[in-house]
Order: sequence, then C-alpha cells, then structure tokens
Amino acid sequence: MTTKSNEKVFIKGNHAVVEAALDAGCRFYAGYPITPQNEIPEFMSKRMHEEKGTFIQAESELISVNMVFGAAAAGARAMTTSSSPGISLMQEGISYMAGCELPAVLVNVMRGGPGLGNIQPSQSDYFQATRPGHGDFRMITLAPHNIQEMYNFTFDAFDLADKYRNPVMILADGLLGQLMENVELDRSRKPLYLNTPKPWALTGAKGRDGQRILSLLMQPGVLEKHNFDLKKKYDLMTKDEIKFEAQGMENNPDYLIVAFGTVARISKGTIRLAAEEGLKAGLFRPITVWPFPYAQLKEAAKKVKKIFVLEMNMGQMLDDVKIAVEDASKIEFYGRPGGGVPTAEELLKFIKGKVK
Amino acid sequence: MASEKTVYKKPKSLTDVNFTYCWGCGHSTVHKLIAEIVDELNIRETLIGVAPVGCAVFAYDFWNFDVTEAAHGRAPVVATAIKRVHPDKTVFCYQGDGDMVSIGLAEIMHTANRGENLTVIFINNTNYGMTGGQLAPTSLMGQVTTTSPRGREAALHGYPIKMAELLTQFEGVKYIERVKVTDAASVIKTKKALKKAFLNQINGVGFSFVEVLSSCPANWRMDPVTANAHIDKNIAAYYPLGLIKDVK
Amino acid sequence: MIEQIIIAGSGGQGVLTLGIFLARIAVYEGKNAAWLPSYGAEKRGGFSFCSLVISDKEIYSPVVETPDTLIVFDQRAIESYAARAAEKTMIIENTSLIPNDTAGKGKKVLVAASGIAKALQSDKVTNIVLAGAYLAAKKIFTFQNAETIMKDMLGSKAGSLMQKNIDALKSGFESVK
Repeated sequence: MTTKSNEKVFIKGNHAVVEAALDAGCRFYAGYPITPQNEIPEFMSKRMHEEKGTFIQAESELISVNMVFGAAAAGARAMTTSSSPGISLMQEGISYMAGCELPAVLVNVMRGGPGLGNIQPSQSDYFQATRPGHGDFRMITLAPHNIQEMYNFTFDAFDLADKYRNPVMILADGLLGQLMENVELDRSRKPLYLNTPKPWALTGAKGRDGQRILSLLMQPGVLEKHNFDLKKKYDLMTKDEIKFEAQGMENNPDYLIVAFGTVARISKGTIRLAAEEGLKAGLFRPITVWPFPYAQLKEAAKKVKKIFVLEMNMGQMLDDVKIAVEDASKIEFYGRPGGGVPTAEELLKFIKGKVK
Repeated sequence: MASEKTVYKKPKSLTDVNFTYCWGCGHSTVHKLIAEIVDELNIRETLIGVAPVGCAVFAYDFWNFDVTEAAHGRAPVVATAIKRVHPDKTVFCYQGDGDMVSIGLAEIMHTANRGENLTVIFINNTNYGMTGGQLAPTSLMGQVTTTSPRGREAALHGYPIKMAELLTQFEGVKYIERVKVTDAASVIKTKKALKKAFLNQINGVGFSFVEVLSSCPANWRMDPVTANAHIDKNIAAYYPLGLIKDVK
Repeated sequence: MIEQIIIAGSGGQGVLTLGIFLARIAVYEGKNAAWLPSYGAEKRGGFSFCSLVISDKEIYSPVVETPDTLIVFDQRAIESYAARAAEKTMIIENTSLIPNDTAGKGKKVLVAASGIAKALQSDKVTNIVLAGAYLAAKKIFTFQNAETIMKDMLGSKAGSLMQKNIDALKSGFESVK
C-alpha cells in the first residue's frame, strides 16, 4: 500500500463527503438522486469504481437504505446519502439498523419542507435527525459548518458507526452541499476499527452454527432487555462523544448565540459585526446535535443576559436549548424556514432589537 | 441382531427447533427442502439467507446457516447488497406474497431487472398468513378473506398478480418455475426446481426464481387435505404450474 | 481584506467556471475562498448565478447580499442584479449583450466581452475576457497566477486551448487598462 500525502483541494461539500467516505474505507454506496445532494452519487459513481468498491444507483431511498442494511449485515463499511424527503423514507431502514445494531453512515443534505418543499438550504430536519424513526433508539448526528468539516466529520462518522455498531448521520444542508472551499484531505489518516473483526457479520457459517442479524424479539422480556442494553450504549455515546464549539466565552459575553451548521458560521460574522458596535456576544455551536451538549450549554448560558437561538427552521433545536438552560425566559428565537438563509447583518438586527 | 441402516435423517442445515407453522402449511416443507439442498450442495458454510416479514419471519430459527431479517418487502435489495459485498457466497431470499407482491413489488422488480445473481424463493399462499388472512394481491377472484368479506371483486381489488409471468419480461431473469407442494410427486419436483435455482447462482447463470403454491389451511378455514385439493383444483388453474423461463 | 463577488448570466456562458477560476486564483495566493452556485430548479429558464467571497480571514457567510464586484453577462442578469449594487460596487458589464444599461449605483467597467471573444474566434472565452477585465480593474490577483490556474483548470486540454484563453485573458485585461 502506498502512503498518500495530504492534499489541499478546492471542492464542493458534496464532493468532500465522497473523498472522506473513500478515505475512511467505505467500499459500498447506494443512493438515489435528489437535489441538493446529486453531486454525491454522481461523483461517487466515478470514484467508487476507481477504488474497486460497489456503487449502486438504487431505485428509491427505501431501496438505498435497505441495501446499506444488507451491506452492513455482510460486514462492509457502507453509506447512503439523500436530502430531507428521501431521509423520511430512509427512517424505516435507520430504525432496523439501530435495532439490529448495524453500523452505517447516512448524509442528509437538508432542503426546505414540509412535503416536497423546495431545494434551498434548510435546517428543517433537526427533529428527524435527533429524534429519528420508530422505536426507542438514538443516533449520533454530526452537524458540520464548513467544507473541511464535511470531510472530517464524514470520516469520523464511519469510525463512530463501527465503534458503537449504530447508524451515524451527517446533518448538512444545501448550502454546505453546494459550497466550494479549500479543504485539506488527510490521506494519511487511519480509519479506526476498519480492520477490527466483525464476528457478528454474516459471512457464511464456516465451522460454526448459523448466526442471525435481527431486531424481531418476540419472547417475553427479551425486547425489553435489548432496549436496556441499547440504552447503555447510548449512555456511552452521551458520555464520550459530545462535541461542540464555544467561541468568545473568555470575554465573558453578555449575549450567547446558539446555532449549528450553516447558521453557526453566519453567526460568527454576526458576532464580529456586533463587536464593532460594542456588543459582546459569544457563540455556542453544538457539533453533535445528538448527543446534545446539554451540560456544556447550561454552563455557557449561566452568566449571559440573553440567549439567541438562531436556526433555518421555526424552532427545532430551540427545544433542546430550553431543556439545557436554567432560565428559559432568557431565550430569544429567530428562524428562517422554507429555504431562507439569513445574513450576518439580519441576525445582528434581530439581536439589537431584543437587547434595547 | 439385524443391522440398521440410516435411510433418512434431519438435514445438518436445520436446527433442533421444531417447526412452529400451522398444520398443513407449506412453509415447513419448503424450509426442509432448502435445508436438504444446502446439505447436498455442501454450501451451508458459504450461504447467507434473507428472511421476510410474514409467517416465515422466523425462518432463521429453523435454518442452521447465516440468515438476516429484512424489513417488510425489502429482502431482494438486502440480498443484492450482501451478494455484492460477498460475490463468492451463495445468497437467497425467501418471501411470501404479501411481502413480495404487495409492499415489496418495487424491490423484486428492480432486483430482477438488474439481473442480480440471486436465488429467490416465493411462497404464494394467496393471503397474508401472519396477520390473520387478509386480502393479498395474489388472492383469487371471489376469495373471502378477513378484509374482503364479500370475496375479491375486480372492481374493488383488481385481479390476482401472476408474479412468475410478470418477471419473464426482464432480460436479466434467467430461470422461472412455478411448483406446488401438495403431494409427494410435487414435492420432488419442487426440490428439483429449488436445486436448479441454487445451482444457477453457483454457476453464475443469474437471477433464478421459484414460485411455490403453498397452502394456508388455517386462514383458508379448511382442513389440510381440502386445502391441498384447493391448490390442485383452483389455485393451480389460475397460476399454471411448470417451467416458465429458462435461459441457458 | 474581504472581496464579495456576484456573477450572473445565462447557462453556457461560463458563469460558474468564471467564479471557480477566480476562487482558485485566490486560494493559490493563500487566501480563503467560498464559492456558491445556484442549483437545481433555479437553473431552469437558463439562468446562471454564483457568489464568491475571498478573504484573508476565515469566511463566515458565503452568501453575498451587497457585492464589492458584480459581473453581469447579459441584459437579464443586469436587470436582476443591478439593484444589489451599492456605491462601492464595481459593476463589470459585458456590453456586447447589454443594450440597455439599467445599473444605477456603482462604478462601471464596460467591456465588450462577447465581441472580443468573437474576434478571437471563440464565443466560449467570453468569461475569460471578463476575468481579464476583473484582474485589471480590481488588481487583487497577479496575471501570472491567473495563467497558472488557467493551465491547471484546462488540464489535458491545455495544449489546444491554452493560447486562446491567454489571448482572451490579455484582451480583457487590456480593455480596462
């Protein structure tokens, strides 16, 4: 195997996802066309062939996600990608993978909804990412805010999926999918657990009895125990995998912006503009929107006068912020639904209107 | 003392769990035939099965080889992925008529059209067995079920889908045969067809499909003998038995 | 420094490529760049648009409201985007396809880019003529670095197409000087 050196490339978020998946050892992809993530299956069809892996253009999102289920059951690192309406269809397979404890990576390049909505950037799927599917299960969900993170987090997602034998979602949006930025591809990064044996995988019962991948547990008490066992796993994720970024907290800010993904990066511009006008604001950016950094946000929110929750939806992460902070009366919410992307100036104007 | 000779034994590919299917149900017969074939072809250690949702959802309790569940109707695409990941393994899926012809129609059609090198076993008992005998796309005209109390009517329910015939048009489909398991002769024929469907995959021939007309006495409200006679007389009259497609 | 650019025109004119070209020169010069296209249904009707932010610092919002530079390829583009211009905005107009200049605020740079491209016997380099005009008008990038990136972007086609593109870049550059 040749050692590859790192590469700096100017690429789209959707392309960064492909490079990260392949660098992380993913050799199975199934996906279905939907805007604004089409560059992923398009580019993947070319790159996966070069890496001698399997690319399948599935005939629906139900088919993509169930192909990923099959590939994961067979022991492969597998991924599918889609955008909001397609993710709704995939919730079936996500729940089955959680129940069967199968590792897989899903990327959601969110667009406006409900229904067919539009194809503009949106954060309308915070709920269906952090409260996914049917049944009592959880899924680590990482929210990148630039193209470097689209690459890094997609890579991380494969390691996390294998570490916990659970699906992991990347929660991006149309802006991050389409945006081109400079990215360092870490070609020397070693995937964790890639070569760790998967004794549970179905590879043929050589020298042993047959084994099963299943989530159907009908005997009295067995499913209840399974759910308790899963909870232990989710507790470990909550203990060890929470990621967030806090900016400007060292200046004891008067105001705290809580935002994720695209809105978080725009908010950084708002904070810069606010400083020019003498307003001291900090940013708290959940990177894992599940597990949500409740304790860390509670701490960051203690001393501020107001908390501004800013989202490209009508208040979804807002619920988690309310759970986290002690005094919900300090919270102000501003949302742009249906594909609206706020500007830094627009957010500043809202904040100024509330602090007068 | 007379010497003893083994003339019959349980296949290695069956577990010690007793079949839990209803009296007269065709599933147990087909399960056992599959296990015998797996033993005879010596593929128990290189085989991966995909079980459906429906009565055969517990198939993995009875088979002693690797088996995964699949969401309702999705078995062919789960099998597709497994085969692509392990092209050297033998992969089959086992589905009932509610699973395949109703909720999973897209999955089976596209898998057939892609010409995946898989073995697909289709158990057609003309109703939803597991959930209590509701109308299936395969239910016969006039068939009374728990959701068609006045019998199947064309104006309300359309006509029964002939799955085996439907799949013949796909170039990627290499072998289709319809069989039944109502008597010793038909069971032997079924075994031959199933074996061919597995051998086709092993020999790289491609997508092979066996439809088994199977009885469901419990939901049909018949005793097993009458149920088998119903297949011979009525069901096989609508769903013709025999070889339907065979591309060498 | 921060430079916010909007480029607008119609499909096939090389609007998006011009944006990527300028972005990649910026990256080559050690700056940050963020390029965002219109996509999907927005493209219906042949409209083409991209925004580009170039900065020494981390780029927060890639969405451009009020551009420092507005590059418009045709009449429809100027009519759609002239209102975004402020006094500080430099508007680079392809006058060949803009019979009726509707721009109000802003400093205008008028280039008959399609005409110049035609004279070079290639309509396809209209965007490169405008790139040349941009280099000369804004003086952010060096001509030499633009050449390097152009060669890289042309890739295997550089042999046959490089000279024509260099000529287009030069012509655009000189039309402003």
